[in-house]
Amino acid sequence: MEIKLVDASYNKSNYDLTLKSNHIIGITGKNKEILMNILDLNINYKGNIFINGTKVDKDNINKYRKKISLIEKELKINTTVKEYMEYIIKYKRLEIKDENKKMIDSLRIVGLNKTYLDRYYNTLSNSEKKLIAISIGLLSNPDILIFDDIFIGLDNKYQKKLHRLFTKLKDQYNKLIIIFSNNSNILYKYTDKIVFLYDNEVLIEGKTNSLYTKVDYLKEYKFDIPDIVLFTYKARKKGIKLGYHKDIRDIIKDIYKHV
Amino acid sequence: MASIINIKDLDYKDILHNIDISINKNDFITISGSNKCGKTTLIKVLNKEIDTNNKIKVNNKDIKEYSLKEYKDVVGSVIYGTDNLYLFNTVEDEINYLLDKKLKNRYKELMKLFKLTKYEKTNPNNLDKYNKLKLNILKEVILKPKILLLDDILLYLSDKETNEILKILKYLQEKDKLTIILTTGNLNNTIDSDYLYILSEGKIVLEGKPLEVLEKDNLLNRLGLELPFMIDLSVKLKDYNLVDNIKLDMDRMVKDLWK
Repeated sequence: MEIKLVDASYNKSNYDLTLKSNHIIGITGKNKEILMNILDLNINYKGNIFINGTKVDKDNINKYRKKISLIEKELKINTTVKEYMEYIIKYKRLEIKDENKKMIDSLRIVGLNKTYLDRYYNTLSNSEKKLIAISIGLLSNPDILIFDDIFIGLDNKYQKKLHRLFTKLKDQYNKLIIIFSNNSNILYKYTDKIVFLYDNEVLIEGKTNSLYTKVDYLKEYKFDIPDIVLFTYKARKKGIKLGYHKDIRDIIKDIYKHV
Repeated sequence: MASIINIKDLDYKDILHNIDISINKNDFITISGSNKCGKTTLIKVLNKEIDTNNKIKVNNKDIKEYSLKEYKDVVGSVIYGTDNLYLFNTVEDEINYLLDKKLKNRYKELMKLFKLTKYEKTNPNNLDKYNKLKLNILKEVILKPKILLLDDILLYLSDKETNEILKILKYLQEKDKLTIILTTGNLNNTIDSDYLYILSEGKIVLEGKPLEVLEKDNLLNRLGLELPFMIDLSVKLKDYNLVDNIKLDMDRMVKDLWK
């Protein structure tokens, strides 16, 4: 899966960017909502977007919209999960043979059982709401999944569960997974590639591990630095040769070696 | 010290079990726990949205003896995820319909404190989420309730916004002698509170001064909670005898480790 933006613009924002499916990709920066909506093909952008090499145009845009799911932070729903899913299937004109089975399958992928179909969305906990939003996003069997701040508000167990799910979706099903967030700790932990946005365009993109350790550079543009990176950075400034780690236990071992 | 909320042995359905809570007047209380631990339900009980058979005393009176209107005078609340329903076309009118003329100074003081003065003539529906949240809190505290309940309001805020809100709340705690109860899934937000409760599966599993509670890293990790980075680092370095107390300041820590 590949989505390529060439001079894609909306208002003051303008993006050139290619995203491929073999990584979990994070996107961070001010005004990220505009890029999110361009990628979701739901605002009137100028410029060109190519999906797997084919240009998106008036004739095929509806087909591609079905291939893309934007999973928002929260949904405004006051029906049961099933009623909402039925509405989405109708509204998006999804062609599904066995709707009931599809709904149950979508729930199962995120680790929920079919009893959730009859639950009222409003009565669910925040974490359940997030999982439901993902399963709704999966109904159309999308190739590109865009998540808005998906990890925020989930405890560690849920975060790890989601990370496993995303890894599976990209590795086994070749899905393109894009996570929008401004939380540096979460992006550092859960993404492989990262795109920094600044001044309504792409500032820099690359491997998460190597970009987040460019602390001076990121500070210049006022990006938050992950705590664990910042600590290592401060130690290195004092001449201590700590390595950059993701897991706190690794940094502890490293500190132990260096004191 | 005088307690303003007293809950004894509270049970509610399968959600809350044997909850004993006694909250001191003018304390800033935080309640945390993994997803689905019962914290939102507990807030709903305290907000008189859910009736229980238990005796709950609020401001020296059984919660059941209050009318809803009387209760609103004593307890203000902002609950994450509640739809914002604004009745007026400007922020100024939205707040002022609550007020007597006499409270003009109070209005001005709070607008300044919340940094909302420049939005006075803005339609509240056009504010961004962060400013809506500030407006919602302001509306709840302007008539000086004794208790303020805040459920998960910090969820999607940036660190900067979170700190600003916490600063405002601290000021109100001091100035208005307000008692504040805040739920959050992020333990970073509990550090500066006076007392912290950790819930798990509807029970209180830990309580005390935040720094004492947050030292219990094994239990908290088991519950799926992520420790604030500097506390996690301090606790683990303590196990290796590399530091002897918790250090919240990163520069201090680097300095003390490598003298």
